[in-house]
Amino acid sequence: MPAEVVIPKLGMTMKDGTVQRWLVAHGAEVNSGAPLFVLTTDKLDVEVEAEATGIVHHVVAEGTTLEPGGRIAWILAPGEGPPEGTAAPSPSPASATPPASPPAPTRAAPPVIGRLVATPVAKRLAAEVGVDLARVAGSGPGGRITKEDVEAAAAAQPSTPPATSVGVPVAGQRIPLTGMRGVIAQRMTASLQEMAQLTLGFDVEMDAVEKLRDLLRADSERTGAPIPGYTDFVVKAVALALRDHPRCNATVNDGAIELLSDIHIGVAVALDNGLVVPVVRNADRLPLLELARETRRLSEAARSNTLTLDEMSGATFSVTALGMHGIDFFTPVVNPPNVAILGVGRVRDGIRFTKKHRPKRRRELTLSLTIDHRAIDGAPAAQFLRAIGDYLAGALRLLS
Amino acid sequence: MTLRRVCVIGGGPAGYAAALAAARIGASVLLVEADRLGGQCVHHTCIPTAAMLSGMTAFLDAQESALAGVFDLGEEFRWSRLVARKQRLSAQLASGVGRLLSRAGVEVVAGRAALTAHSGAGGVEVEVAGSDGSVAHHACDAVVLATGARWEAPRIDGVPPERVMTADEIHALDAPPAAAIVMAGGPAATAFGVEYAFLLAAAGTSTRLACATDVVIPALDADLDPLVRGALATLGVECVGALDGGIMNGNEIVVAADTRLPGLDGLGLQDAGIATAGHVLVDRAQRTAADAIFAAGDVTGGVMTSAAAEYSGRVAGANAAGATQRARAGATPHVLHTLPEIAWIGRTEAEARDAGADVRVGIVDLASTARAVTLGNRDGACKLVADATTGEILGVHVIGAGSAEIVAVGALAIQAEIGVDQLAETIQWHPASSESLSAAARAATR
Repeated sequence: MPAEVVIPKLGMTMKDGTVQRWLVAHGAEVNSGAPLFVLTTDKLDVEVEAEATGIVHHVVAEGTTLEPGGRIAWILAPGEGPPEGTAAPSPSPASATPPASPPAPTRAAPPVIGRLVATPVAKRLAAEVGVDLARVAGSGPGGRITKEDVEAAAAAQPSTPPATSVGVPVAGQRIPLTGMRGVIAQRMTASLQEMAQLTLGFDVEMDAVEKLRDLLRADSERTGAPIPGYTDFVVKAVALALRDHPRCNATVNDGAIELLSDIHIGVAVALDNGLVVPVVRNADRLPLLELARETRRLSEAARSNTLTLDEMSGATFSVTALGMHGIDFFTPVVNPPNVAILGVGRVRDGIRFTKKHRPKRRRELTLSLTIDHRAIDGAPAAQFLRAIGDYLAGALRLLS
Repeated sequence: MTLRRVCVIGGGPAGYAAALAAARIGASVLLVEADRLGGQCVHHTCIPTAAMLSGMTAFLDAQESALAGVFDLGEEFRWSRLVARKQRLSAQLASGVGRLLSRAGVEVVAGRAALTAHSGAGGVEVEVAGSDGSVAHHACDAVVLATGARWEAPRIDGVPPERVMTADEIHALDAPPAAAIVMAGGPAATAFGVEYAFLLAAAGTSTRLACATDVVIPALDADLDPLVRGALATLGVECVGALDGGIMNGNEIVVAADTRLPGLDGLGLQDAGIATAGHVLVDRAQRTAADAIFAAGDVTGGVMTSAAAEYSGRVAGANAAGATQRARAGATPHVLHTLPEIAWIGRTEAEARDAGADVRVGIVDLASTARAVTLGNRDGACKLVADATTGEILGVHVIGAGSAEIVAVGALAIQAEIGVDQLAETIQWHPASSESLSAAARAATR
């Protein structure tokens, strides 16, 4: 007896359902209880299981919408034919009959929501040639995406440059989220999905830092010592302030905030095709000139791609600077597993009013502190910012 | 709507696989067989050869154990009993095919089928000439051509035709010939000649193997060629160059082990508009140039093995019944049931490099594996060829005990597109031959 497969009624309000995807091909065998098709309603996507064992005979193609009770397939016993009046549907794009010569179906399929099934080799090749598997129609068993499907999809893409190419992006180019880009994409998305992030802006006075820097520059001409950059001063100020604000030097783990004992500052370095965050270890204990030497060494290593994994791991807090690009305030994204990140803006002319209400020029910059609100609240974060500002205003304390 | 009517012409591996696949998805199937169900495979090639070789390898194994002192050697090898046993086993399999078809509801008709000129848009008409002189016409929605191949003994300069024997004639002999020269290759692109050289040499025939190519088995990775030659030399088989009358010895017969050609005659192909080039041309869906006519197996040329025929038959049968399958035949294994066993699948290292792949290989010396030692110090080698970028397994080539077992795992990996790193992580029984494949995969990932 052929068993009829219909659109199930999943709730009182369900008006119709769409066969989004057949999980068992026309002519293939299915066991009772195994997933048969993906049903889409206005509210959800569900996998519907077969209620009988036998050979699946599709009555409708993928994408067909029917009211609950509408017949979509038969499950037949071996050798049994479908009842009268039910022809097989014309093939869906995913299983289209190939044209006379070998080419595989190259049509770009609409993006598929849900689980993607591709062979290991197909996945590897897709990453290699920059093909989005969600847009590839699978021709293998059960709609599985095979190597051949990926090759066909790659051939159909308009002149894709090799995935590894860097340099000037060209319009129309497809840059796959692999390698460094993949890591950035994954970490930043995870960061914003896991944490409750809040950014505070705070202007700090940089007159003392600028004066000290001028002195050190003059000194450098004699001794050859490095001239610390503004970011180096900020990193040192942050490291010292963290000693008094251990909540900002922490990580959230297993439902608890762990306060960390060492202070290792990650410093973001922009590269042509992404960014890396090498780590200045024990930054609170490094004299400013040594810290400057270390950040210079790390950023050179980053640009020559010779950073070791150790040099890129273990940061307890991160600093990122966009001041050299004219940015004052921004909202940095916390670098997991840290609970805070400090953005460093542009050093600029500002106005301060004297006690006699006279305007006076000062040098200033804006710090943008993003915190994970799960670990730190706004007020203590503001106190931490003030502490950094105090260290920068009294720059001499940063030297040792 | 009435059931789709599918007619399958030919009852060999491609034909019965097509009939079963079509019946399975609800078509009404008629199968026309001109001779015996089972085709060449059951009656002339795979099954008789494997049955003869199993008796032969059992004998050689026993001799080796006797030499090792495990038991005393007493039995003598009886060729005629082996032939009788082979006959029984072939007949058993042929009737098994018949039962399988009848259980699936396939109607089997004896006779010679041809496409008629009436074939056209409305369907296909098949004319069946029965052995009793009757002629019947069957209207079908689709036809699967699975007529297989026919033996054609080659004409060799300086060799009289009566001294050339095909494989089916060899395993019908009452006694092995005194001396033979076996042709290693042939148009069917198989290596059955190597099996026949082995069989005859082990049966006491003074045997030489004529190889037209540099290596004995062109489809097997060249690194394994010395081991193939070594195994043949152990049995006293001498490898010589291409065959011509000049190298023949006085009492030698020529064994044309696999000189089969696609069977195209009498089918009415030209009138039906089916394109051929010595074989029927098909696309990946096994469709011929004519509407509603599919073809599978040896009649479509290429490598003529039952494994390939059965697979393409399944695709052709399902598509004739209205499905939309596409053949992916890259993963067809080959096994020679010799001693040691020889098996391979996919590309050789040289072929992979020629195809432009960035190749990594892993080679394992089977002599040092636990399984080979427990079998009494067998030697052999397993070579795995993989794509360095995607990890795709491109080929597995083995000579030694358990080759078929190893290549079976390779077939799974290739068809499922499992990468070399995943293969390297598979757990195999110890001691078992399949351990060598994981080891070769690990060697290739280092």
